[in-house]
Amino acid sequence: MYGVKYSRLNFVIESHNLKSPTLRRNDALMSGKVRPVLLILAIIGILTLLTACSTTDGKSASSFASPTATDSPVSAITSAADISSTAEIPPALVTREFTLAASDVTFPAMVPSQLPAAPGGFIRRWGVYETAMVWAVDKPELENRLITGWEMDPDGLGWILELKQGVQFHGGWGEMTAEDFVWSFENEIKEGSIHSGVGLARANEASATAIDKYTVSVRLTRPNSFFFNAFFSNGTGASMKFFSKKRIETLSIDDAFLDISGGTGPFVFKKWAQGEEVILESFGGYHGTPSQVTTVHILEIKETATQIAALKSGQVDASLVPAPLAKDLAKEPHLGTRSFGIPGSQRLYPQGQFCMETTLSGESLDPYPRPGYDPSKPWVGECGNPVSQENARLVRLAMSMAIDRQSIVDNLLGGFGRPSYLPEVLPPLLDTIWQDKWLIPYDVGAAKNLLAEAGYPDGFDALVRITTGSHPLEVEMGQAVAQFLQALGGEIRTEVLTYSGNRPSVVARERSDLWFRSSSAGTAEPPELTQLRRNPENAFNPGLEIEEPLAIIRQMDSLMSEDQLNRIREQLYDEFRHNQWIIPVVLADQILGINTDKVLEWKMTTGSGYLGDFQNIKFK
Amino acid sequence: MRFLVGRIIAGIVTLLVVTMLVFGLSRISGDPRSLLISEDTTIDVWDELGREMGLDQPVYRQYLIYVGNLFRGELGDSTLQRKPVAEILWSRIPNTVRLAFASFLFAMLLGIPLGVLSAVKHGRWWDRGIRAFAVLGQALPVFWISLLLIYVFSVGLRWVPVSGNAGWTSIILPTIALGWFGAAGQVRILRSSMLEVLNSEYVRFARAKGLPSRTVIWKHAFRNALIGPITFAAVTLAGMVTGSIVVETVFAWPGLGLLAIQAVNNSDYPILQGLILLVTLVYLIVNLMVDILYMIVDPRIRIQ
Repeated sequence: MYGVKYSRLNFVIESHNLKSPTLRRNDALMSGKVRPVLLILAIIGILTLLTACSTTDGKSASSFASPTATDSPVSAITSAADISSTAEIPPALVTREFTLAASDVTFPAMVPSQLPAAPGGFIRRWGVYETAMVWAVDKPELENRLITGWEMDPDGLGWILELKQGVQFHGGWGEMTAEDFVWSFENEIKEGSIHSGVGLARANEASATAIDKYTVSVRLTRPNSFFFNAFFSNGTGASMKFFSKKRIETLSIDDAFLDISGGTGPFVFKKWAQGEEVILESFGGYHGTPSQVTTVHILEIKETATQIAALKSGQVDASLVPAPLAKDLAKEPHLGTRSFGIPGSQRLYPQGQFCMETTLSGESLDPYPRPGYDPSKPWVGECGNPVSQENARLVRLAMSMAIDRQSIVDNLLGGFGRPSYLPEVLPPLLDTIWQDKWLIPYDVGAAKNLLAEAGYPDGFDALVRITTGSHPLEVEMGQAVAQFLQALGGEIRTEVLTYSGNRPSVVARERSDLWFRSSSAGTAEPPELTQLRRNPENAFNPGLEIEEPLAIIRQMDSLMSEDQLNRIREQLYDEFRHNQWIIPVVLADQILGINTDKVLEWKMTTGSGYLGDFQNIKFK
Repeated sequence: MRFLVGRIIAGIVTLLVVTMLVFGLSRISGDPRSLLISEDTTIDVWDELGREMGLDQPVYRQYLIYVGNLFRGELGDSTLQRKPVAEILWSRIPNTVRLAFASFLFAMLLGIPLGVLSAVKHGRWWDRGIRAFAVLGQALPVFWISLLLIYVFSVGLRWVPVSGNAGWTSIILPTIALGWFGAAGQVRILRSSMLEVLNSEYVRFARAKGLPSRTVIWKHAFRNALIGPITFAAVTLAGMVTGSIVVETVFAWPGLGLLAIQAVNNSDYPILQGLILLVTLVYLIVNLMVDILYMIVDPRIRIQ
C-alpha cells in the first residue's frame, strides 16, 4: 500500500506494511529515503558544472595556484604593458623576499579621479606610486622625491615646482613630465572625482599649468596654508600621486582602473589579487636608491590570531600585533615588536550636534533640520537656546571627565599608547603645541556634579555605537568607555557594527547617539584639515556641524607663518577643550611584530602610521 | 511535463521573491555612495555619483532595472572594485568547491568507519573513545578547532602553511576543520542507526545462519542503516558549499565564504546580492534536479 502526496516543494511517499528486510531496502530505494542520494548527486553535478564553467582559462580547478602564479583562480591583476621587472633588477642584487600579513589588500583603482582613500594610501605606502615630497625618516621634515625644488609665488597664491628629470614610469610608459603632473592634478580634482583632495582644491579653485617640460605652476584663487602639505606630501589622504597621461589615454579610463602598471616608485606591482595577495617587485629603473628587497608578498589574512600564527611559524616576516599579545610575542626567540608610525586616534563623537542652518558661505542646507538633530539628547541641546547649549556642553564635559584614559592605556593597550585630550591632534604636532591647560582630569565626582548642574543628577541613558574595522582592540576600548559612562548613572548600551555598515547613516546625518570611532594609525595631515570635514558642504559628516571651530579654521587659511598658525591653533583647541564637541579618548600605538632573524632594520617615514617603505628594509 | 513546468514556475517565483528581498535589504542598509566618498567629498560630487549609479531614479524603477539586468545575466558591478560581480564570483567558486568536496570526503571517510566501529564495539573502550570524539567534534566551535590545528600543525610542527592557497598542503587544515563537524555528526548518526539495525531480527537471523561477521555487518546491517547518514551527508555537503565562512576566514582561504565576509566588511552590496542569488539558484536547481531524478527512478510519481 503506497500513497503519494504532493507537498509544497517535494514529493513524500508514505509507505505502510513494511515487514521483510528485503522489502524495506527496496522501499527505501523507491521511497522518499532515496531523495538524499539524489540530492547529493545533484549537488555534485551542479558544483562540477560550476567548477568547469568557472575555469575559463583552461587551468584545472584542482591544480593549486602557487604564491607567485599570476594565473591564480582568483583573477590576478597584471600589467597591460609588459613589466619585465626581473630583468630590471640590478644583477648585483640577489633575490631577497619579504612577506607581510595584512588584514586588507583592497583592490587596484589606478585612475586619480576614481581612487578611493584606501587603495590610494596603499599604492603610495607600498612604494609603487610617489608624491612630490615625502616625510623624512626619523624626523618630521619634508624631503623632495619627485621634485628637485619649489618656491612660493610672491603673492602667496601659488607655487612653482621643478620636477625631477629622468623619472621613468613602470611598464614602459615613458618619462614623467610636467604634462603628466598637470593631467594627474586635473583628473584628481575634476567634476565627479571621489579623490580626497577634491573639496580642498575646488574650494580654492586650484589649477595647474605646465611652464616647460619639467616645471609646473600651481595656483589658487585665495591663500590656503594647508594646500601644499595636503597635496604634495605623502602624509595625507589628498596626497597627489603622479600618473602617466599616456597610460590612461592608451588604455582608456575603464581599463586603466584595473591596470597595475604606471607608477614611479621603487616597486612595481607584479600581481594584485583582490582579497588574496599583492606581489611587488623591485623596479630596476628606479630614479632613486634601489631597494635591497627584491620581492614583497603582502598576504591578506583577516583573522588576527592567524596573522600571529603566520608570524610565529615563519610564513610571514612581519605583521601588526594587538597590544595584549605584543609582550608575549617579543619573548619568541626569532621575533621582536616595536611601536611605529603615528598612533591612531580613538575618540567619541557625541553625534547630533547639527546647529548650522547654512554653510559658512551662507547657502541653505538640504535637508534642514538634519535628520539626526535631536535636542532631547543630553549632549546635543537645543540650537539657538544658550541655556540648553550650555547644559549640553556640561554633559559632554562630564562624559569626558568620567573616562579613565590612563586605565585604558595601561590595561587594554599594555602601555602602547597615551591618553588623548585634543581631538585628532597627533604626534609629532601634538608634542609641539601641547599645553597642560588642555588636560582633562579623570574625576567621576566632579563629572556627576556637572551632570547635576546640567539637570541630569541621576545620569542619562545612551547608546554607544562601536564601529569595527580599524583597530584590533576597538570593541574592547569602546566597551570600556561605555562602562566609564555607566558610572555617571543611567543605562549605557553598546552596539557593535562594521565601520562601513555604520557609515551610510552617518553620511546621511541620521545619528544622534554616541559613536566610538577608532583608527589604526594616524597621518601627518594637519588636524585642522580633519576638523574642516565637520562641514555642511561635505557629503560626509560624523555627527556635528558647529560654526565656531569652522570659522576659526577658516582664519587659518590665509596665515603663512607658524607663529600665526600656532596662535590660532591655541584659540581653536581652547574652544575644543571647553566645548568637548568631540571627546578624545586615547592615542593607540601601532605595534609591529617582525622576524628579527631576518630583518636588521626597517625605517619608515614619519608621515604615515601604516606599514610601507619596504625599500628601507635592510636584511641581516 | 505539467509538473515540471509547475516546478520551474515555482522556482522563478521564488527567485523573484529573493531578488525583492535582496534588493530591499540592500536599499535599507544605506546609500552605496557613502562607501565611495572620502570625508572631503562635496555634495556636488555626491549628486554626480548618484546620477552615475542610477540612484536618482525612483526605487521601483531601480528594481526593474536590476531585475532586467538579471534576466540578461548581469549581476551588476561591485561598488568598490568596479568589476562585474559575476566575474568576481566565478573566480572564487573553484576554491570553495574544492574545499567543500575535500571536507566532505574527509567527513565521510572518517565518520563512516568510526560510526560502524563504534556500533560494533558497543559499550567497549573503542566505543567510548569514538563517542567522546563525536561529542567533542560537535561541541567544539569550528574557529577554535581551526586555531588549534594551526598552532599544532603549522606553528608547532611546521608541516603545513598557516593560511592561504599556496599549494596542495594549504588545503589540508581547512579540510579537517570544515570536515570535523560533519565527521562527528556522521559517527553519531551512523552509530545509532547501526545499533538499531544490529539488534533487529533479520540481523540476528543472519548471524544464526552462521554468516561471517563481516558479511553481516557490511552487507546486511550497514546498507540498511544508511538512510539517516545519507540524509545527514546531503545536508552536510550543502552546508559545506554554502557555509564555510568561518573556516575560509580563519585560514584566509580565498573562496565564496571569505568573499562574503569581505563584501560585508566593505558593504559591497552587489557582491552580497550576487552571492545570495547564487546560493538560492543552486538550491532551486538542486531541488529541481532531484524532482526530475525522482520521477525517473519511480515511474509511479510520473503517473501520479
